[in-house]
Amino acid sequence: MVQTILGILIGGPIVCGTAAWIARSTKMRMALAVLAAVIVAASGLTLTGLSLNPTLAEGGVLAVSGGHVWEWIGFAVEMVVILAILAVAIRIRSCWIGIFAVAQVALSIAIFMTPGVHEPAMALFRVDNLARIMLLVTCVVGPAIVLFSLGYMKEHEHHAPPTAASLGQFYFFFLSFLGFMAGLVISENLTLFSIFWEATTFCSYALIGQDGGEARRVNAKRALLINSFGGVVLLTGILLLKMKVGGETFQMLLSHHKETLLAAVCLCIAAFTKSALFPFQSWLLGAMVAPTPVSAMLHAATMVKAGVYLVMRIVPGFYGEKTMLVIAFMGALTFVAGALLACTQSNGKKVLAYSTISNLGLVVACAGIDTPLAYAAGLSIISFHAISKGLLFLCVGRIEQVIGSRDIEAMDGMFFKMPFTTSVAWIGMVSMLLPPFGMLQSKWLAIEATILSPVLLLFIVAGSAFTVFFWTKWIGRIQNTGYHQNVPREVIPASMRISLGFLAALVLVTGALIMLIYCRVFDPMARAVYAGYELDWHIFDQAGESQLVSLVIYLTMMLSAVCYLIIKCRFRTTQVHLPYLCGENILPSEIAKDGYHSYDFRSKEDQVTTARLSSLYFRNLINEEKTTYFVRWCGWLIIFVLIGMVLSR
Amino acid sequence: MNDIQQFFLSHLHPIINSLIALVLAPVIGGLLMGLDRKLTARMQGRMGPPLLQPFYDIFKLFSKESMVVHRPQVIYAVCHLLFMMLTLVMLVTGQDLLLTLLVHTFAAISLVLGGMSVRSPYSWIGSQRKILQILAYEPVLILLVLGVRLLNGSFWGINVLQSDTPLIQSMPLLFLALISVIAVEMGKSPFDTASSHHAHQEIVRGINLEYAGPYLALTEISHLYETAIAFGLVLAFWHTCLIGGLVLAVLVFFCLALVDNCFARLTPAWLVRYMWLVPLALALANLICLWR
Repeated sequence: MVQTILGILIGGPIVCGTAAWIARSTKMRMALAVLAAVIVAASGLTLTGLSLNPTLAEGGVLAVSGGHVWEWIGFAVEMVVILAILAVAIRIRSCWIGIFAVAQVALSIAIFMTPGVHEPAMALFRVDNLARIMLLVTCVVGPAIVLFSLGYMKEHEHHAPPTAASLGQFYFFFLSFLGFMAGLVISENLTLFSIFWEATTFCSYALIGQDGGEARRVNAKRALLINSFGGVVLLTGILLLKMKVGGETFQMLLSHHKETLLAAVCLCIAAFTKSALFPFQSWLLGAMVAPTPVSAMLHAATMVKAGVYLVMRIVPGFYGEKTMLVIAFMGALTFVAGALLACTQSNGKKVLAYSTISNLGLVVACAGIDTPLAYAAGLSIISFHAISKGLLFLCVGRIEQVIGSRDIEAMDGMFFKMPFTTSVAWIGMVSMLLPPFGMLQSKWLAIEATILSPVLLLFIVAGSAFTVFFWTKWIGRIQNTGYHQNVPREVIPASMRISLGFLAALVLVTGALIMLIYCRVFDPMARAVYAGYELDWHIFDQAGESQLVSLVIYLTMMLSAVCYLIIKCRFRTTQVHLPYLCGENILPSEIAKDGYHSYDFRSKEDQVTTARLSSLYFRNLINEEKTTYFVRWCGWLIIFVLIGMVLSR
Repeated sequence: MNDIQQFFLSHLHPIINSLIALVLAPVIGGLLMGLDRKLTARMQGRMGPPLLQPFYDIFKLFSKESMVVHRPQVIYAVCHLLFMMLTLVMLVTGQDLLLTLLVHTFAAISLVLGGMSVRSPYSWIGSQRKILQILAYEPVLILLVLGVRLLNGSFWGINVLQSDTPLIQSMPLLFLALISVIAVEMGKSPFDTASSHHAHQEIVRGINLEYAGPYLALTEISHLYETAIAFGLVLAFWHTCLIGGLVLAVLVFFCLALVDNCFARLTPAWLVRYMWLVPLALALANLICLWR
């Protein structure tokens, strides 16, 4: 039974995707996409439920093993995926991707040939605490994005350049992506893990390049290049592990932690490439040229989460290692740099991309700090970030489709133009920075956890200050009254409305239940992970005690909403006045007559002038290119220190 | 154990404690503001308004007609007040200080969002500067909380009151850093970039410009709470001795008034630079000493 569900979870979306590629009519394709979304959601949730069943799962871990034939199957599939990447490298004539692909072929043959410890059955999959969380993220947020894509891609097809690949091809890669990601988070065997890893790399290449054209080709190539490098490092790590201890499972890696540190560090560096930490951030920034559902998928539900998942899986096994602190630095550096650069951007998607990078950095920093509190913080960032960021990307995509710009400064008077989308986007943004929502809760836990390391602390504190800065600017902009109060309201397709509404409801509900979620889910998980170690549980226990406060915060928010409603009911439109503009306002009656804007005023000598507003971006203080260059080298330095520390032991 | 400690640690119910604080804080805040105006006037050789002037102002504002430019302004004014009150309650009941700080930031952000929700250049400029101020002082406050954590081994405010040594003894530099933060929060020159009490250096009242009538009164009441919280923090630095705490408070109060009258407003960028250099360095130096 478990095997069947696993098969459906991973195979279902891939089969649906293939069918969508072959399908002739758009209706058929849409139906298949919906089917895939339902399959992923249903089988993912069922699997999560089954793994909680004590008769099936021993000690909360549902394990699936198979015969030795799987060793051959795994090897064959891995070869197919890598050869596909090699074929792409030859087609686009990229020397480096080719070299990396050849190296991957060599490494996987070497892994296959290296003799392992003989065991009666091969461990293939397992669903434990961490995998359950990741599975939920993929299977709840992923299908919502697929649903959104139905309405989005229909409109996108009309505007797409002639170079764009077919919608069928798009859905093949898009849907398979979900299946691969689900497979990735539940793989116990590292060879299986690397298959899914390479497969997501390949899918992201195809999806970023979806619309064709020079810019997209370059960015898709860059994504493939950086992730292929990650693939080489990953396979090196697996080879080292197999040579040292003779096995290739996570279990082996974590149980022999004295000998496997180098392998673990290799896997972590591979994770950095996937999670787009500095110095590997450029591919994720380039990826925003893809259609919006793809960006949402890459940033929220899949791909980048795979990297942080790997770090979260590995690091607790090495509790007490100084090396892990270096990993924390890597994360903290990315957290600060991402947030700082986000402050200087006015391109909405780029702000989101930098904020994703920054948050992934925070997760890695939390993992690297390696205490239960930090671990719980990391887990909650992964889960809440997925919901909020998925929602935000979809909103920005929708806004871009309607107003034709992704520039934040152009998002004026959005509550009049697109009330639904803007309200939802507002909820998403607020959940990224204000209490009691998950992200702030996690940041609070993260700061409490960093107390153990002074320099890290400074990074985290500075980063969180920058985060507040750029989000507040953006929220302020979208809820500003605009020029055109009498513009036609948007008509939003049903699929988009359902998907956005679902994600927004999820944000609000998780915000209300945050206390329960923390105490019932993240707290016991962190306890279980660190159960075997001697450490100071004092701070961790105290953090659990103050969870009640978040409920009070939520209630206060609700209270202010109620106050607003009361005031609004008693409100008359005559009480709304025009703002002070240092001159006589143009009255609404004149606007209709003379074609003035609604916020014009008469300045010197009765000249009609428009009041303009713009936010601070510090472009004269912080140069994006220079900062990136500097931070990239800092990132490389940390990686060298990391490797050097392990080699010199 | 002394009076302040006993007041908070006595067996009064936390709800009653919070209610007392919620009622008393604006009164104390208003008196402080009145005193501040009086002192400022005397420094400038004027008589100054009566001590209770802040209260008269607020009562008068409430009797005015309610007007807005954009309706969401109202919700942000309400949010600002409610979260400022929540900050006070969390402090009085001795909750996790870091969480309290984040709630306080939320209160400040709602004011910013209120200012940014209208299409008024002046209120917009004020709001942008207010975000810069938050960016400038938040790290210092977080470091202050972390200093308390290092000293007491806990993030909870209640543990500060339970300890027998005053904070000022081991955190003098952090105290100095806190004074700068209070100056920014209370909008004292040269830190009054977002909105100013002095008519001669206004950006037309900055962030509060588009609030009028009862809603302006709401933001004013929040300001009273903010003032009371700031001086409450100063008292908490010498919680073992009421006289000592009061001496500290009077000193800070006088210094702020003096600085306010001596300086003209400086640029927002200067403010960030100053806050990230001087108070942050002071706070860090103090933290390093605490790191045993």
